[in-house]
Amino acid sequence: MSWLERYNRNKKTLIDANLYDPSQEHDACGVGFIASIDGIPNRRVVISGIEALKAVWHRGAVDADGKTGDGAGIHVEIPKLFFEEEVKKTGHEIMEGDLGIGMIFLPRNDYSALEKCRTIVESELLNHGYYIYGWRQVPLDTSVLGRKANSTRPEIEQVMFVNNIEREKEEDLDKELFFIRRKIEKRILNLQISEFYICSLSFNTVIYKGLFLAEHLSTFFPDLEDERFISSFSIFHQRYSTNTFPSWALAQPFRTLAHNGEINTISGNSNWMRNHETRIASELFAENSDQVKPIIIRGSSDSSALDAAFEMFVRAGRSAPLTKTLLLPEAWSKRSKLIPESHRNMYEFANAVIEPWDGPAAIAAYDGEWVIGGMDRNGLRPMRYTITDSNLIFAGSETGMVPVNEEEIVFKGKLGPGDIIGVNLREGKLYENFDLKDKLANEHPYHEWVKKVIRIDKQITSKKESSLFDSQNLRQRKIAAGYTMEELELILHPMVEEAKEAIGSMGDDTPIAILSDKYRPLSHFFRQKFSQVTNPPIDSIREQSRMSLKTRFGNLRDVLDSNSYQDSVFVMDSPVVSNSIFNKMLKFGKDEAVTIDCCFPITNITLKEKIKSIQDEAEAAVLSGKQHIILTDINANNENVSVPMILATAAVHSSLTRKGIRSFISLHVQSAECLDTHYFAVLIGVGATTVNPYLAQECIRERHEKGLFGNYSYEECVGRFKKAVDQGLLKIMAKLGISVVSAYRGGFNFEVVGLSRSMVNEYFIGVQSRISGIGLSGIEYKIKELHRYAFSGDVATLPIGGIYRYRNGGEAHAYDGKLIHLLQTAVSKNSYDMFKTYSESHKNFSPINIRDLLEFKSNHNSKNINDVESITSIRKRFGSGSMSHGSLSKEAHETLAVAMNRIGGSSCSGEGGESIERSVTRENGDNANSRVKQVASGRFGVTAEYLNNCEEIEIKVAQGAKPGEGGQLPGFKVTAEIAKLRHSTIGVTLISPPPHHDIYSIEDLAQLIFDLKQINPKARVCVKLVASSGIGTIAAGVAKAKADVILISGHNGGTGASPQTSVKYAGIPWEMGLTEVNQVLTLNGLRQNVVLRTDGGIKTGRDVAIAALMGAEEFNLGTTSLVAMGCIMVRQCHSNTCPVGVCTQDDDLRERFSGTADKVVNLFSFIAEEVREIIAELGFTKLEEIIGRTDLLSQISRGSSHLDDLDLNSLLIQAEKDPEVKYFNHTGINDAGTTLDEKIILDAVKFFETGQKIELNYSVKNTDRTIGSKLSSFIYNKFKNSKINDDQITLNLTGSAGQSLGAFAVKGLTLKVEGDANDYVGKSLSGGKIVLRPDKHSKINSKDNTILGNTCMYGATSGYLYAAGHAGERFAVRNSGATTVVEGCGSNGCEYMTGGNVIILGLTGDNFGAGMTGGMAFVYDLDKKFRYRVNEETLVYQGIQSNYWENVLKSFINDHYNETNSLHAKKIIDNWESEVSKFIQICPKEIMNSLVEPLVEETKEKKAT
Amino acid sequence: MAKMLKFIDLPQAYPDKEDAKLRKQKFKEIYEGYIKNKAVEQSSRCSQCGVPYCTVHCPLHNHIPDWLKLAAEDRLEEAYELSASTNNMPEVCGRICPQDRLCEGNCVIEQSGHGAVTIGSVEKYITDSAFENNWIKPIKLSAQQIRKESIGIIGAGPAGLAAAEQLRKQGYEIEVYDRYDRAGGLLIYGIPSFKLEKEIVQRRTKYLEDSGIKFHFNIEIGKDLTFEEIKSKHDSVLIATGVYKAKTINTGKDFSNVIPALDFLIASNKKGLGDEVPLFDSGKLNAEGKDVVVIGGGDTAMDCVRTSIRQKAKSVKCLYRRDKENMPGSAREVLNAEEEGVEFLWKSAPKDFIGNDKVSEIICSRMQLSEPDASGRQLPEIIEGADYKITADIVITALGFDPEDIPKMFGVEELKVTKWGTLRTEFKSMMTDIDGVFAAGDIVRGASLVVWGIRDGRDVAESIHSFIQAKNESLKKVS
Repeated sequence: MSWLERYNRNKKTLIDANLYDPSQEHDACGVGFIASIDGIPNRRVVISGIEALKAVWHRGAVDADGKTGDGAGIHVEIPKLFFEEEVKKTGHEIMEGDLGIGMIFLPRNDYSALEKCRTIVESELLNHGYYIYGWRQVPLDTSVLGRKANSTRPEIEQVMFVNNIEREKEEDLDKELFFIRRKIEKRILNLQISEFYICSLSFNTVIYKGLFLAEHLSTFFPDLEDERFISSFSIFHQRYSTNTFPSWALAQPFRTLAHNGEINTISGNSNWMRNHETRIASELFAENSDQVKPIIIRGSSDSSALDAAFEMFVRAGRSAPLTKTLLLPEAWSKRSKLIPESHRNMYEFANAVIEPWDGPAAIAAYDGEWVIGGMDRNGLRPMRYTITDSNLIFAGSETGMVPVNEEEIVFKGKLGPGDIIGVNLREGKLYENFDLKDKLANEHPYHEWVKKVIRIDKQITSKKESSLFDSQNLRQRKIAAGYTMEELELILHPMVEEAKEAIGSMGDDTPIAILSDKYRPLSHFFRQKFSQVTNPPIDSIREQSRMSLKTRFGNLRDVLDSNSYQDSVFVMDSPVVSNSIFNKMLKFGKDEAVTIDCCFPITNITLKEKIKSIQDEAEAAVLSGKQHIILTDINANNENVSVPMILATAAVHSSLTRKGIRSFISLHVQSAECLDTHYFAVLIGVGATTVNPYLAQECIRERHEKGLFGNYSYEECVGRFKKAVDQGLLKIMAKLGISVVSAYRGGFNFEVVGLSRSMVNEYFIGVQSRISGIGLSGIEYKIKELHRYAFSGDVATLPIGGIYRYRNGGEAHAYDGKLIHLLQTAVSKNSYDMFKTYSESHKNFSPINIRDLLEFKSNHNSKNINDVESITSIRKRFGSGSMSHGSLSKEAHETLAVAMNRIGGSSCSGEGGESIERSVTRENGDNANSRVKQVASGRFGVTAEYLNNCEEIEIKVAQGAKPGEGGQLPGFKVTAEIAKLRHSTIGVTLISPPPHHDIYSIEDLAQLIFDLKQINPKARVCVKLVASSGIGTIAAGVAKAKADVILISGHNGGTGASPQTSVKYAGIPWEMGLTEVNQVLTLNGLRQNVVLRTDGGIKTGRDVAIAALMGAEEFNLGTTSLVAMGCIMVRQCHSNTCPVGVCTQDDDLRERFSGTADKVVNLFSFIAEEVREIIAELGFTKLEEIIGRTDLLSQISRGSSHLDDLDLNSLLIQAEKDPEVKYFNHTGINDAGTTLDEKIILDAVKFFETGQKIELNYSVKNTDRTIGSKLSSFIYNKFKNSKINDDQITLNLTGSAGQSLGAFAVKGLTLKVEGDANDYVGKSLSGGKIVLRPDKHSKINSKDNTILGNTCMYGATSGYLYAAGHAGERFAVRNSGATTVVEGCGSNGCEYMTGGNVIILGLTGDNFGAGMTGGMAFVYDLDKKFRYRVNEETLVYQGIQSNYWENVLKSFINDHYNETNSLHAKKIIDNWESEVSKFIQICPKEIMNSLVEPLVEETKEKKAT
Repeated sequence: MAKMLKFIDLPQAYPDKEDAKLRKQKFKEIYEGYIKNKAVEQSSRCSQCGVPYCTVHCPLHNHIPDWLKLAAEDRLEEAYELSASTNNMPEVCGRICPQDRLCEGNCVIEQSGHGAVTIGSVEKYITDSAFENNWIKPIKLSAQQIRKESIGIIGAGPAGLAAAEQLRKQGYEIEVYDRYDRAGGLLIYGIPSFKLEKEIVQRRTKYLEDSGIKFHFNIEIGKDLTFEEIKSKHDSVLIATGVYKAKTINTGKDFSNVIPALDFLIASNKKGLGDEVPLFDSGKLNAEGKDVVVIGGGDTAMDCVRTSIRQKAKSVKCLYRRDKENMPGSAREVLNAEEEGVEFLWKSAPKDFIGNDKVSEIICSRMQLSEPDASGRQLPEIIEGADYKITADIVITALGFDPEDIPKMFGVEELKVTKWGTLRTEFKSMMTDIDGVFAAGDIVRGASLVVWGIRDGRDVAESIHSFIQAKNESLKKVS
């Protein structure tokens, strides 16, 4: 069987079994454009595009065959001369009229299909009256293709035609061709021919693309080598995709744009486009509009969907810059001081008509007139540009991609968040960011238009909230809505009291909703989606200025029609509406509103019938011209039960969306069940415009009347609750990288665990429900049961609850009280019998986890246990999980490490560094060094030393308890010891960002892995992910990024502190994630390249064995290890009050710690022994033999009788393995590739021999990445025990240095660059020095130009960086000790910084110092607007007010001048007296008291006197 | 708003205990109630555990952390409602449960050395406050709630009363039969007032009467009323008679001053209630001025020694085979007894009783404890030749209780007993061998704690309710 056949068969098997969904695939890439600013076509533009692709190969991925790339391509003007020659070759004379070229992929292996396609293309072109010259077989050099790419290669041909029609008026030819293309595509799709794809069909431009490595573009397409190939612009793209199925059509550029990044809002955007397209298409094509619908073709990648939307706007006559502004607006609503009013008006208009497409996105686009580069609001992708005196602009993901003579360069810049740059090729003019936006803002009278947007918050206000129900009625309603005491006390109360979500700790050990025998609200079946690896989550707290809950509603009319719609657009600041406002809103719009009662008689009609009638009523309302639909369950009473409002909302939203009429109305939901933030998120996510939680508010009233909220008025309490919900919603959106609620709404950004597949298909568009589960009839049974109970009579108290903590009569918890004690006794007495009792008891529990529905089955004869591999060898596969010293006490953390080292397993440092003393073996022979060192988003304590004292490095991308969120170590846990490890200040809160700021995308992860493999070439690199649907493709991307281990965490992993709803509702069981990863990696031939590890609630040998059968080779037991050491699940880790000293930094409590390494060793020995027994029983002798053998499992329970079905087939299905490959045998370390350092290390042989000072010179390109890191590893290992001076080894580099210059560079190493550098300079700098300055011959002025990329000095702990020029976005994020001087920086500078000194001799971007809790910064505030750019939440800032600090600043600037010769610095020093007043000093509030000298001198003097 | 988790800084504080010198003068509870601030403060020490071991090890699985939190927030009425939702007499449990072996003993912060939350005292405080503030309202059934079925309950002890209340809430007609003249069983007659003042029990009984439960006192089944009569009168019958037959000790002869503990305690309690008790007045059951020897180490023995002290005995000695660590009774009670002047003769067992019709001296053997056996229990062994003698005017035997022969007493052959003499019931349904006849409490379980009696009463109530519903269903189907 050929590779392709097996691939296709496997893929189909996995898709059919609901294990794999191709729509989950992701990509990211390198992108850019080149243009001649005067608009004159020239050859250099094309050549440079080809060159640029050769310099970004590292941003793409290569398949196992070493040749199949993920795709690359170029978009250029049609070179008329060239093609006219080609036309002549066909025997035609050149006719009058425009020459059109269609670049088309045709089915290669099916001749009849190919002919059909050609015929359809021809007939459509002819139908429009074009003349066809003929087909040209595009010359190809297929020798550069890999096996996979070649076996799927289409026939690549160009159709050449001419527009020779006599036209009365000038037609928009590209619009015509767009229409033709859509018709062709539709006709061919109807023939079920899938290999057909039109790359481009145009009179202007042509796109060459395919599945080769980027560097082979012009080899594969020899056309491009032809000198006649000239163009005024070129857009180029290199793709890195998580899927490995070679898809030629998904290569970029697309018809209008090329995109680097990811569209986080894709699912909401696609759904809303279905609503918008109804009106747009009819405007464009009148009665033919059906021919172009749907605009976004099902199964498109996110980039191609964005392209489709973008193209539609362009074809409808919007310029590319305006389209970019509509689709990817900059953040504006909270930045009124920085954005001119005219711009804000334009954005407000955009906000009122269409949902933004949230990136991360850097795009390059062309509309026939403009070529532009643009960035989405968060600016998470790099785009650098260079302008030459020869009238060229080069823009792209990296600087230095196209070698340009330094003397030729007049400007080097970058695009920041929301920025845009464009060349109008017709005008021959370049517009930079501000000018271009200004031009756009002045094109229309936006200020007039926005006047008609009605701001509800101003129109409707309320000072008085009233009461709705008496106490008896309220109690019944509470019970009927499923409220429990726990929910009111533990969830609702803190939301009012703290105005924040409630915090909890440890993992979720209750049954997944579908396995529970209790009533579980529908929201419990929805799992929040989150970003990992392929796109970053956002920090909704520190970066709130870019986020918005602005909710617009009313009839949205046509998004293209600029004149007629604004009169009915309402805007409010949040979708959460209090009772009084809701009532007023009802009155305000009562003529346009329809209220639909979602309650129905408990007897005589069914839930299904009721939902149908709700849908019908809603549809009728739209058709009758209403603008607001109110869905309410407020009429529930003794006889009438409510449809779960999630279901009602989704049913209405999806039926209206399917009909394309959802945007005509807004959907307001009044829900009793809605209480926690997750429920709000689900309601909005399934389509609610606004939500009124009337019953939760009534509970607040009741509690307020009891006096439980101190001095707050009832209205204040409601406001605080609303604030907590708002924050929670932002967090849930931020988790998947969505900034704006309008793009989240109706996006169904959930996956569902345990709902019937058919019901989900019916009501929840695009949502996955892999294992099916409860359907309408089951839900009906449950709600009616609860309803009868609630109204049965006098129920005095609410049910106690027990979801979050064990309560008798509530949910089962897998960590059961008695079993915890049993396990603790077993490990302390070393009694395997007791352990077996413990293990058996778990087995006899009612099901909690999916695995509890499975049982072993084997047709082998059992083996004698003595023949099975020993516990010693099995124990090596075990780990104790990744828990930091910071959450755990020192004693507990070290005990775990000692135990794991004794048995050859692994313990992990967790985030937060580890004391170097622990690397020394103790006198008794024990070693407390963690074998695995973690690199997490905060980079706390990540130094060259830390990374060189381990055997494995774990990149924690997400954590099971709170995927998509960062952590926070509250100040009271930051003891002297912790502060030292984390390079921070005692008692000062530490924040870990949600994303790694050097991983916004899959190619960034590859870069980080590359970096880590340089700093410790001997360590395995592990990437820790959290189970979610689609994780298979993510893991494929991670495997391609050369990770050695992939860890799949279940949703039930533990945490030291996290919002309760995060612990509960994000992530899915590892059983689902692990099986998907194992099978998708097998499908793609990548499984043998990695080790799979899993964790999350593993408690017994049986759990381990099932994980092995599902594909895991290694296993972590975090919580269970803690229990063995004495943890009794008090769940107060976040309070620092752990009574048993496990999870606390309190000295007294730590003394209570009674854990020992012996206990932990016993635990793992018992588990290994139990695993042995299972292996023997299954008839094998080695664990290795059962890995991935899901055929040895069978489903023994299908859940309760009221379920539709619970189908675990998707977990048990297997992809057929390649017989030629050996699996589960990955022992070595994947080679990530070599660097310049290999050469440097050889050249520095003298230095290593003698330690004497040396200097070495090299010229570098952007492909020379991570310079100095491997060298640093050598230096560390050579000199770790001796002191080394600064500047002991100096590298003089010229050119554009690649990413991660000087990452982890150690003391003694100095890197001096003449030229510039890309992203991640000085990442985790560990004592080294980096100096950058423009080329000696450069004409540019350092203070105006960009010299560094994004995220430089991220997590630096010590050392120096001096750069004569601007840095990119996120400069010095989480710096904890390094000193740096630059001459300007992008947004989010010094975010989360905890130490060190940062001096910015120029402008900063906004949100400066967000979450900064340590260190000191100085900014040269030239335009006096710094105060609008600083995020002052944790900071004080002021002019320099003390001699001491003035001298400190001056000496830093002097150093900068000495290192870089910056003229700007010199000017400041020379005019110090006048210049010093322009500086602002920025200092975190929390460290004010521990400064060496106070900020203001006078106070000190006063004290003295 | 009170914050919880204060155990780190706030030490444990039980309510004040009256000085031994004073308290031994009277039959009054020895602990003060908490004042409000103290109760709030002590409640706030709770760690609010994820797995509340106090609940896990409470036979009633009371939602202890939750009502501690409510109490700490001064939400007493809610605290009471919650506490009462799992317990029919929290004020009793708060006073007499051996918390040191149950909730408080398993309290996580106790285990980690911080001293338990004073759960019992808070529980008592909550319910007493509820009574004082009139939050406890008799059960009022609406017309729809009232059921026509009636349940007969034999025995007005903890199990019978708990079942009665639970079933009444479901709307049943309830009639309770007891051989004594007051409701409460051991609560009223067995437990001395210095642990549980009788007003407390009577307050609870009154609540039940006000709730519409009918009591018939001084009725001995099989004598005053046949079992058949009761059975035919009610749709279901519960037997909850407790265990009353004292375990005896072989004294060789029939001595008139060797008294079973219960006789002694009942006499004292009746006296305290103002009843006529001739045997007390005659001095037979009165310890005043006597050398008292109590044999046994359980809670009943403690009640006897401390009652004797209060009756102004000349001396009070307690004889127990094992040592202090291994005694079954509550350590807290031993301490109270010691404070009040009881002399404990640990590792001592009576070997011989000397005297004519009255014992005057006891020869005691000294014991030692063997190495722990497989179950960890150490067996007492006699040390040969180490005997000693003590004098006694009155000997009280507190060696535990055995069930009476209910089938015989009731004259119902169909009732079956276990080898221990307890009534045999089906494990899950708690039904005896007679359809519709249930049994619960000590008569099934053997002598046990009050809290277990309540638990059994609640469980059996649920079972009876299911039984009646199932019966109605099947009737409906037939018709």
